[in-house]
Amino acid sequence: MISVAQQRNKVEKWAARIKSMGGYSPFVKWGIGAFLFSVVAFFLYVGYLDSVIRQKFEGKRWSLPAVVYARPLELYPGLEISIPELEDELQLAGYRRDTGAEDPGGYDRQEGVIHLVTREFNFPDGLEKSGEYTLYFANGTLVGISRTEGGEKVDGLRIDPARIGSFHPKQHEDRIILSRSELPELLVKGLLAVEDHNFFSHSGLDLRAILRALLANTMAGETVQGGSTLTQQLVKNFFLTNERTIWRKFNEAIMALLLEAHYDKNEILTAYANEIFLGQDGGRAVHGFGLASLFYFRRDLKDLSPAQTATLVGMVQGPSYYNPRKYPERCLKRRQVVLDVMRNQKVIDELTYKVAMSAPLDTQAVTGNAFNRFPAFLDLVRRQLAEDYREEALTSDGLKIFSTLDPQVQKVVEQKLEATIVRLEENTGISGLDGAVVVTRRESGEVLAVAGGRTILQSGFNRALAARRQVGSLIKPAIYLAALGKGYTLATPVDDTALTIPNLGGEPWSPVNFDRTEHGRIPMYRGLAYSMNLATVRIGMDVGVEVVVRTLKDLGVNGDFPAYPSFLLGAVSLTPLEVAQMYQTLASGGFYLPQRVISTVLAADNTVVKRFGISVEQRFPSEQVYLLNSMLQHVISEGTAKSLSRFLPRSYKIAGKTGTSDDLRDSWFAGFTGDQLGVVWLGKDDNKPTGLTGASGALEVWGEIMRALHPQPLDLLEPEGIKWQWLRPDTLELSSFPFLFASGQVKLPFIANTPP
Amino acid sequence: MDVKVHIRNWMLSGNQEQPCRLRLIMILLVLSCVIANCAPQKRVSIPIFRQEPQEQVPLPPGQTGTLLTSANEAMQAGQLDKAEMHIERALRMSPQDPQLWHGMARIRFEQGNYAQTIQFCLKSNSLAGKNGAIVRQNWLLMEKAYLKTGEEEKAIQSREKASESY
Repeated sequence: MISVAQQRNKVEKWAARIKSMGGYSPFVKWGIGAFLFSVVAFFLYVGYLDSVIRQKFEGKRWSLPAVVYARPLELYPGLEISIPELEDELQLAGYRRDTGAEDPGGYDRQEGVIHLVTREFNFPDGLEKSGEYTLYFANGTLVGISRTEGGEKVDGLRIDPARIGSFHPKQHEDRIILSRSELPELLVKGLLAVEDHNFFSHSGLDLRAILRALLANTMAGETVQGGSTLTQQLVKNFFLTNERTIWRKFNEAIMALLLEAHYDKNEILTAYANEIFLGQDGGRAVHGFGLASLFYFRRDLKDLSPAQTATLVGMVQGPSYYNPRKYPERCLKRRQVVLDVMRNQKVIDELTYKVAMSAPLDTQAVTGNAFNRFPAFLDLVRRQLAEDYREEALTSDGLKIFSTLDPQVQKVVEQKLEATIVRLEENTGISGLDGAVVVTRRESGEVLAVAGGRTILQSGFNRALAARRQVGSLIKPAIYLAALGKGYTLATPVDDTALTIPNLGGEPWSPVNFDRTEHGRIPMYRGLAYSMNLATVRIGMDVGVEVVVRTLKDLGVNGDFPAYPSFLLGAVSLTPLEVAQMYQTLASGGFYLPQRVISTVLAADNTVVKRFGISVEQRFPSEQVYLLNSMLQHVISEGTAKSLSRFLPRSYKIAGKTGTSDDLRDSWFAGFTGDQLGVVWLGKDDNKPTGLTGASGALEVWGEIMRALHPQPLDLLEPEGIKWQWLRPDTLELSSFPFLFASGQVKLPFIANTPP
Repeated sequence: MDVKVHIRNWMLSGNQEQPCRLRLIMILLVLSCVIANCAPQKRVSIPIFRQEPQEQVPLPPGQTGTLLTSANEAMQAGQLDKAEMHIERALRMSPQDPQLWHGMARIRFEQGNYAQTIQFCLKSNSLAGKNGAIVRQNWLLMEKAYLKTGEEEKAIQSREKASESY
C-alpha cells in the first residue's frame, strides 16, 4: 500500500509540474489537455464498441431460429392426386419446373407424366438421398412410380417438406443458415474476387482498396466504387444504419478492425454469407445466400450453375437495383461484369466463362411460397411447443419442427371458408360473418389444417383455438352414447312430447323443438337424426345429466361442466378444436386419440430431441360407438344434414351432426368421412344472431371443403356381435326380414345380446 | 430402461478375469450379423417374440409393406424411435391396417410402456375384423403386457382369447 506521505509527495510533484508549465501559452496547455482527454475517450469508446461487437456477433452467430415444416408429401401408386395438385404441392415445397428435370428440386411435366428429381433431406428417421423418378398419372390418380434411370419400379417416395415458418425473433427476416463447409467454393471465390480481393490478407480494412476507390471517385466526381472490405460490409449490416457519414465510416472501420481481431476469417465469411440482405419477398426480408438461392432459383445453393452464382454475387451491390425479376437487363449486365472479373482472376476457366455468359438469367417466378402463409396453424404449433420449450430455445437453438400440416388441405380449407362466407353473406344479406375450421386425420388425430378466421393472413384472433361458443346440438351424440351405455337401442321408443323440468330456485324449464312441433313416439335413432330436442331431453334426463357430462369428458373434452338440464341442449361453450377432439373419439371407433400437431423435433445436428408419438385409449366399447356412428349416418341420409348430398353423394355414407345455438348465434357442423374429420363453426365475433342454422351455414362450408378433398367413403367396421333388423318406424315393429308392403322401413344395427 | 443400455451393462459387467469373454461375444455377434446379411432378404414380417410359435402374417402390399419391413428392421436394431416413425408414415397411407397398429403395440412393449401396448392391441383388434392371425398376435402380446404389469388374471384371459381366435 502506498502510504499517505508517498501520496502527498506525488501530488506535490504533479502540482510542481503543472506550475512549471506556466511558461507555455494557454493554447498549448488546452491542447495537451484536450489531446489527453480524447485519447482516454477514444480508448473508452473503442472498449465500448468492442463489447457491443462481441456480444452481438456471438448472439447473431449462434442464434438459429426454429424452423417449422409441413408434413412431407408421400407419393405412392393409388394415391388420388392430379398433376396440377402435385405441381401445386411441389411449388409449395420450393420445387421448380425445369425442362428435362436434371438437378435436385426440379420437375418436368408432360402428358400424364411428371419427371422429378427430389432433394436430399434429413428426415427425422434418417437422411434421404436425392433421386430421379418418373411418375405416371391416370384419371386423377398416381398409378405408378419408377426410377427415371433404369425404369425400376418403386413402391413410394416422399418429397422434402415445405418450410412453413420460423420462430425468428425478428419475424419479418428469414434466412437459411449455412455453415462454412456448406458454402460452395465457387461462390466464395467469386464473392471475394468481386467484393474483397484481399480478404484473406487484410486486417479488416484494405487501405489500397480505399485509396483506389478514393481516386476513382474523385476522377469521376461521384461515388462509383466502394473500398469496403467484406468485414466492413458485415459490420454495416449487423450494427449500423445505411447513412453515409464520416462518423459511421469511422465506427465501421474501428468495428471491422475489432471483429478481425476477435474472429477467424472463415467465421466472418460465414456470418457475412448468412447475413447479407439479398431481396424482399412481400413482408419478409431475404437474408443470406442460402435462402436467396431458393428464393430466386428454387435450387439449393450447392446446385447453382456458375452463371446463377455470379448473379447472386452481383446482387450484393444492390439487391433491389439488380433485382433479376424486376430489372432483368440490369441484372444480366451486372452478372456479365461479375463473370468477367471471375475469369480475369482465374476463378473460372475460359470454357465455363463462355457457357455462363450465354446462359439466360433463369430466375423462377415468386409463386405459392409456403413461408408464414398459414399463421393459424403456426399458432397451434407455437402453443404446443410452449408447453415444452422456452421462448429462447425456439429462437436460438436451431430446432427443426416437423408438423402435421397438410398444405393441400389447408389451402382448400382457407379458400372454401372465405368463398362460402362471401356467398352466404351475399345470399342472405347478413354481414360481419366469420368462421373457423379444423380438419384432422380420422384414425390418428393428426391436425391437417386450421383456419382461424375468414381473413387468413391477418394473424390475430384465432377462432379455431380461442373462440369458445355454444355448441347447441353438437352435444347430442354424448347423450345418445350415454343412452346406448344404459341399454337403449336405436329402436327404443322415445316420446318427443313437451315436458317441463322443475328448476331448484328458478323458473321451471320447458324446452321446445326447433320447428316448435311435437313428433310423438319415435324410435330413438330419429331423435338424433332429426335433432329433436324434446326426445333428447327425455333421454338425457332418464340417463342422468351427470352421466352425460362424464361421457363428454370421456370423449376428450376437458373442463368443468355444471350438470344442469340445459346442458342437454348444448348450453356449453367449446372451441372448434375441442369439438374436433370430441368427435375424433367417435370417428376412431371409441378410442381417444389426443390431437397431434407436431410429430418430431430435431436438434440442429438432426438428432431427435422430442417425439410426439401417437397414443390411444379405448374409452367406449366398439359396439356402442358403432351404433352411435350409424345414427350419425342417418343424420345425413335422412335427417337435419340431408342437404349434404348436394356436395357429396349418399354413397359416401358420411357421419355428422349439425349444431345451432339459441337465436341462431352459432352455426356448427362436425362430421367425418372415411379418412378425415372436419369441424366448422360460423358466427359473429360480437355474438349477434347470424340467421343461419347449422345446416344452412356451417354445413355448406363443410360440404365445399370435403368435396374438394377427395374423401374416402366411410365404411364403418362392424364389430363382432352386431345383428341387423328391419324397423317399421310407424308401428315401431322389428323383424329379421323386410316387411311386406311397408313403406319407410329401415335396417338398423343392434348389439346381439341387447333386446330391442 | 433402454434395451441398449441393458445390453451394454450386461456386456461390461463381465468378469475382469475373463476379458476374452466380451471379445468372444462381440466376434460372435459380428459373425451372426454377417451371416444374417448374406441370407436373401424376404419380405415377411419378423415376429419379435421367438418363443411363441407365431404364424407369419403376409405383409400389406406396396409402400405400407415396405415401411413395415423397415420398422421391423429398425426395431431389431433397437432403434425404437425410428421404427415408430416408419409405422407412423405407413399409417398415413393405410390408417386402418391392423398390422400397423399391432406394430405400434410391439414398439410400445419394447419401450416398456405396457399400458399403451394393451391399448394399441385393442385398437388393432378393433380393425382386424376376421383376420384371426392378427387378433391372435394381439391377445398374445396383451398377455405378455399384463404379465409385466402384474395383472395375472387378465393375462390368463388374454391367452384364452388368443386360443379362441383359432
